[in-house]
Amino acid sequence: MKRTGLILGIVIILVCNGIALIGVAHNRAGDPAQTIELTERELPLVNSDPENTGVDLRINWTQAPLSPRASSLDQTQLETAGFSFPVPPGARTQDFAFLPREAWVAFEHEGQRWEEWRRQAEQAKQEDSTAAVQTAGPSPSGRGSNSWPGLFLVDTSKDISDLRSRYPDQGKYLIVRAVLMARTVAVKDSKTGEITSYKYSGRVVQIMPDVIHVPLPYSRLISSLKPRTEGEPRYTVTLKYGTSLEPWVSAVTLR
Amino acid sequence: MSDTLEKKEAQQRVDRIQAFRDELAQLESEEVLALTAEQRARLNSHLDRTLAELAGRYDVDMSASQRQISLAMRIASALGGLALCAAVFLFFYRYWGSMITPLQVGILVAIPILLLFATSWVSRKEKTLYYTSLLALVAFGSFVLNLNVLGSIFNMTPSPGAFLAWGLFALALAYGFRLRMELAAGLVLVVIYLAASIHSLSGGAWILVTERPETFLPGGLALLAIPALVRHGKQPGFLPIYRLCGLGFIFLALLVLGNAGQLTYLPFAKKAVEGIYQMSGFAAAVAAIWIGLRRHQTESVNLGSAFFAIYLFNRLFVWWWDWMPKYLLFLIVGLIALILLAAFRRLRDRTAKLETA
Repeated sequence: MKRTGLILGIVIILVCNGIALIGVAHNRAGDPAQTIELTERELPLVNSDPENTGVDLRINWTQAPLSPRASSLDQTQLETAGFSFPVPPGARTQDFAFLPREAWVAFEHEGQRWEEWRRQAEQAKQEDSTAAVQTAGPSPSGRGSNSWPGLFLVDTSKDISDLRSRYPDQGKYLIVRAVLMARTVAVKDSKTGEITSYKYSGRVVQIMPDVIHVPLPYSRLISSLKPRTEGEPRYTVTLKYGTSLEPWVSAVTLR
Repeated sequence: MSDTLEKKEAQQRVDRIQAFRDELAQLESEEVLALTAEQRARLNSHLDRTLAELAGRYDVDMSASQRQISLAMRIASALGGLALCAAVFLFFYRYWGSMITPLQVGILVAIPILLLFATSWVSRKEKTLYYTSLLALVAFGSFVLNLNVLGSIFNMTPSPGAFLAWGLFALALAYGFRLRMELAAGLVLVVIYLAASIHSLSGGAWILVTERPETFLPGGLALLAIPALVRHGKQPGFLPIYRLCGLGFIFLALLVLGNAGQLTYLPFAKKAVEGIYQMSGFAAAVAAIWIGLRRHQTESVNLGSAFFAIYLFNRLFVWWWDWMPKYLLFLIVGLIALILLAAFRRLRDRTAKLETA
């Protein structure tokens, strides 16, 4: 029995590692599905433990509209991503929790919408109003606009080929797997404040993977840098996504 | 007969001999029974020989103090295993940045394999499983590190398959080296994998599997069914672990759903769902106690009783917290606790009677 445990354990270790490595080889075989160049704004260093010598970057992205509780996806976009909104008989709409779903999302890199959003947010900040902004990484409030992430959520779908056909420019649009959540929002009468109806909206809660490991020799270039949220980007990273839409770093250059 | 069963029986025999000696001394002091010197010498010689043989063969505890030390050794083994797991994790993270990727992968694969060999070697050397358990825990931790870091190095999309791999590895350790802690870890991980797969098949994002606690119910039920369907002649001590893990998943899922009815697949209103699962929770707890009593499954009775009380107090607080004065609420909770104590005492007496019968 003890020998069986040993053999079985070794087989499990080897098979699991084999499956994982075959998956990696399959992902990286052939031409990459997409290649995009991002800066420190979109790929800041992860604040790691001083005893951890690995170098990781977090994909920093933005979604609007711009308040902490607001949602960036409307009902049509959510339905395209696979959501349906059947409310059970007798249930109150606001009491129903929709199943979080995986879908594909497209981010535009430093596009028109992002410029517009940045201008509005800058303006709002200057007017001393709440520059209500929602990002996946650290909040941009208090940052200079140069450090705001340039990846701006533009669309979603449950079908990746649908997104690819709508956003074919690989250098401009990043398409990744993400987890989406939907919720019910009360629509109130502007005069009386009473709830008149409900609508559905949603947001991206996580992209997968959201942390990118930087291997040697690229990590040597940036391992001495300290994570920061201010100032001009200090490096540019070329990310390639393979057939399974899993990324890897193919180049790092200091600016 | 397996080693585990033999050791358990050996320990029971040692306990019986100690109890017999104590009772004999008591009877002699009360002058109910008096052995002749020859009888006493023969008896003592036989008992001492039996104890020595059992101690030499099975490493059983010969006294209450030895038993306490054994418990302390088990705790030390578990804590030591956890500390060594942390040491392996931190050591790897301390140096992995200076390694090229193939070397990282090689080390990640080699560590759990080497620890498995060490576990196997130690298990053949010792009668007890203290060092085996410690090394198996570190081997398991290293395999968790292995797949986790491999996923990070290659930026893989998180997959529930990792839970299945870790669970199967823990089960291999548990059955290979007769380890209960690894069995519990393996069962929990496999049920998480099942739940994540069900959640994914239903269209949900598996990383948010806790958004639908119902996904844990099939796995919990399967764990309850396994002891009835699969013979564990060589590992009878594993059956209570199956029941504890299965009931634990079921009771926790029902507790969450009874309080958050929106987290359901059922096409009913929130309040209706909560009502269904509250009733199901009480029914499941009563069923666990009843079946446990009938089949002499102490762990089912204990866990069923604990969750019956948790469900009851949970309901009392939800129903009465807002409108009842707090002193009155706590007074009622205290009185109900007294009633429950009386009920559980009767239950204990009944269990004792059943065990005697």
